[in-house]
This record gives sequence, C-alpha cells and structure tokens, in this order.
Amino acid sequence: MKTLIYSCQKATELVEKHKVSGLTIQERIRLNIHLSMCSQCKAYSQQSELLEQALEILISDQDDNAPPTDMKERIQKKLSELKKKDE
Amino acid sequence: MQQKTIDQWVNLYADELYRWAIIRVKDAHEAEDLVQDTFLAAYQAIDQFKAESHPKTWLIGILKLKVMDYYRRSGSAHRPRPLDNDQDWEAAFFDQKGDWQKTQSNALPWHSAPHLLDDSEFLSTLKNCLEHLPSRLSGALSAKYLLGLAAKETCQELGVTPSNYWQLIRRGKLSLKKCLEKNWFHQTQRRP
Repeated sequence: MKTLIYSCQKATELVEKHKVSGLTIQERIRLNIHLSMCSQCKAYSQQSELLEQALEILISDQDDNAPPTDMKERIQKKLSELKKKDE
Repeated sequence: MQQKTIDQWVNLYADELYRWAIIRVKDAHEAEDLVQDTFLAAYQAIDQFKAESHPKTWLIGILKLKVMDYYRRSGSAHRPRPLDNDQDWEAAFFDQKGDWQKTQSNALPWHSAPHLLDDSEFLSTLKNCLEHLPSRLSGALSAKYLLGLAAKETCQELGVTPSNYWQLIRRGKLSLKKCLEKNWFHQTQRRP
C-alpha cells in the first residue's frame, strides 16, 4: 500500500509543481491522499503558501533594492559624453 | 535623434533594469555600472534595434550579456550553478525513504501563529533568511516575486526547464523554512 503513496520528498515536489505548472488528475489525487494522512507535509503545504504571501509583502515593502535616485542623471551624462566623442 | 531615444529609454526602463541586475549581482555599484554599460552599448548598437521588438526586451537582452560578463570576470563565486542533483542537499531534509528527517522539526506549527504577515519581526527574519540563500535559489524566488514574472518567462530567464524551476522554488522554500524555524520560531518560543 505504502508504495502507492508518495514519499514526503515527492509530495513536497508536487506541492510546488502544482503552483508552477499544475498537476495531472492522478498526481492531484495521490497528493491529496498523502496530505490527508501526513501532518508534516500538510504543514509544509500551508507554510509554502504562507511563504508566497510573505515574500510578496516583503518584496513590495523593501527599498534596499530601490534604484539610486540620481542613477538616471548619471547615465544620461555618460551618454552625452559618448555622443560628444562621436561627433 | 538617437540619443534622444536612448534618453527616453533611460527614463522609462533604467529602474526596471536596475532591479533586474541587483538581484543577480547583489551589489548596488556593480548593478548601476551594468545598467549604465547596457545603455552605452545600446546607444552604439542602436542600428541593430528592430522597431518591431520591444525596447525593454532588447535592453534586457544586452543587460543579460553584461551580467554574464560580470560573472565571468568575478570568477565563479556569484555564478548560478546548474541545479545539482545532489543527494546531499536532499539528505538534510529527507531520509533515504523520502520521509522527513527527524532533525527537521516539521511538526512546528509556525504557520498558524496569529497575524504572522503583520509581524515585522517575522518579516525581517524572513528577509534575512532570503539574503543568505544561495544565489540560484534566491534568484528563482526573486524572479517570481520581485519581477512578477510568469513561470515560462522565469524559466527562460534562468535558463532552466519548468521541472528544474519548481525544484528551485521548492529548495528555496525548504531552506527558508529551516532558517525560520531556527532563527524565528525557536527564538520566540517561551521557555520555562
């Protein structure tokens, strides 16, 4: 019986595959059976969902990766210099 | 005329190119230099730009080459490696039968803590965890969440197949989970 059931390793793979490219009907059924029996993978699946939401919040909030405010001016200055050289 | 076009493109796309670069090189100066080089190269190669293509796509294409050059120059330290099929990586989480390792305290119900997404301490721990991920994994997660790319686009950009992609996402999440359990959940547990 146990061989019909996904391992936890496989189940975590399918949790993510489901979000990226979807599952076949068979995969979905087998995953659901696994999740209904395995509290650890069920927790993983909930944590995976929560991480998605948290990452979205984190990334929309963070300004560490914000472009420097005067970057565009610096680039345009360099472009003018290059243009002058061309003329 | 040509410079005017490029100047407009700087205004329109420089920020987006910068965000694209910073998650790959993780260094603000380097990212800006790469974006600048991209526009200088675009100016010199403007004749090759085809009006039917989107400027942003064309610029990202140039930037991609610049980033590759950067990886080459800086040695292998930052270069994303192909996904290893490593038993070792998996072995930290799963035993040979594919069951969760006992050392992974997966029964930890940290996800059911109330108002987790409003908890700034939780979010800052997560951010810290994300910064310490190997670049390949954070790159996959960032491409998805930071740039909001669709799966297909992300796969092309990272040069991976869809199955490698969800493997990367999965490994990224497993690493974040482990890091959170170590640095957040255990710290905030009340001890007797």
